Amino acid sequence: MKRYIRIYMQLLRLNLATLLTYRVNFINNMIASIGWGAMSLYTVIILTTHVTEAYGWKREELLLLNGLYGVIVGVFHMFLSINMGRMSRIIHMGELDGILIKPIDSQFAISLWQVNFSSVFRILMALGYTVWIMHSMHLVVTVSSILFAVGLALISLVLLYSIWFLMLTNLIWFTNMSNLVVFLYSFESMARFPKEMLTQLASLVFFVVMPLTLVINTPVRVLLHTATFADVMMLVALSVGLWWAARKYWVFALRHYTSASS
Amino acid sequence: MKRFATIFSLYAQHALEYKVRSLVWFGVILFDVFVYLLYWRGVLTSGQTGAPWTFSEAVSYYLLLLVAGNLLQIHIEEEVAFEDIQYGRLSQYLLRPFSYFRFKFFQELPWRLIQGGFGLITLLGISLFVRRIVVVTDAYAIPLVISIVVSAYMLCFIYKMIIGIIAFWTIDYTGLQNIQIILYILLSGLLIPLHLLPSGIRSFALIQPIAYTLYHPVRAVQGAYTLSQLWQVLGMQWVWVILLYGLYRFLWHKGLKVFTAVGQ
Repeated sequence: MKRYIRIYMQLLRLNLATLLTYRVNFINNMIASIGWGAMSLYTVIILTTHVTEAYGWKREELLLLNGLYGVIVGVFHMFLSINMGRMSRIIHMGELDGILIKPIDSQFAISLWQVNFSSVFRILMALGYTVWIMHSMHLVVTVSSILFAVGLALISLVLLYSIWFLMLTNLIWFTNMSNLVVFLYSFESMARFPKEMLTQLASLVFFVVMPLTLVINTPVRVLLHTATFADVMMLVALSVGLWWAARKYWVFALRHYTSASS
Repeated sequence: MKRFATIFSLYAQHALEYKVRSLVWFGVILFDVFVYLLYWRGVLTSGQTGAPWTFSEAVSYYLLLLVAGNLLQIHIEEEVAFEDIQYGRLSQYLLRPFSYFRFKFFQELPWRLIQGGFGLITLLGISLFVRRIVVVTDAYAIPLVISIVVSAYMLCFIYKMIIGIIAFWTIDYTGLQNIQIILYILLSGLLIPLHLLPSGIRSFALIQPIAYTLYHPVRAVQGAYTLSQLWQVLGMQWVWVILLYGLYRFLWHKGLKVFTAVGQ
């Protein structure tokens, strides 16, 4: 474990060095990152302009849901999704061999190699917006409820990562589907809508999409004091279960990897 | 023209070989449409007052958007920027005895037809078995609507080519690409019909070129425009086509002078 922490620290330093070398690139990405964050917030403002509530969620609560979505997804994009994009490219271009021969765990190497520092601005913007919405809603929050929500947000990140990794592992067999990453960005955006929106779906679709809706809904419900014990336990159980499944599936998939030269 | 038919045929084979990729691209738009429809279903069927449109209108708009998004939304800019300009493959095209612009046009067309086909099959399926979609039926309007759809394709193609060749002047294109995607989503009507936007930005959103690549064609197919409005839309599309094509030619000639032929 210590070795992996040391490697990760070294990777952070390398990523920082890259950032300082390609400064214009960083500024471009920073603008784009802020743009995505702003668009996410703008979307919900536009969608709720003529609306007082949707699926039992008041307009302010929907805005809070989207504010927290910006924070959690911002962190996910900073540390994880950038690597998922790289993963699809690596598999598509037949470069996975280069990762597998490294003397470190392949899932670690493929999931945490890059850091997108430009997402910091998106996170800060969404955080500021979330605090502002909470203030305007006169939400009573205690230190313990904030810490609890932060803890759940971290667990949500594990769930989000597991969903992405499980789906992208399929690229080992279907290497041409590298655009699956774009689909996952689209799929992920469902997390910013109320969970209740999905209850009208056929049970099979609901079963597939439901874990994603827990990612943001549960921490927000904690802040709104409407979360139940079952909500929290479901998030924790799904995070642990899907993380375990993602790990097992990756190991299984690697057994079927034929490498670029085969 | 025969050589471009050959290019079309070659890339049609390519697109058919990679049809799963097309299916994933189709899935991206399908998923977005599905999410927005679910959202509007909850809002518009809950009996709230002051709702901006009916659920029936929403279904019709988003399902037609599903076809238009797949048929008319060109994705050539990434290949032009990354593979051709930044990796230097443009040299191969410059040595060939035909126009790069036309080559790309016929290269992209089969992909759009296949993805648009997925959208059309979905639309027909829903229209036949779930809910009938209202489209234009006026015999005088139909040729105009078809012209608007074809013009939208050309306009979007020129717009995306301009975005792609900006890579002549940038070392990293990713940031610009992201900004472009954000603008496209906001101004094309993919998110919400532009006429439902707040009044402050609505008038601008309706006349800028991106609206003529997706929003206006969808509204035209929906039968939301009168004959004179259809002529207006077609006229504005051609104003933008001429202006953007002029800009493309200008940037192309300037760009070739800074292109180093071994990548940027």
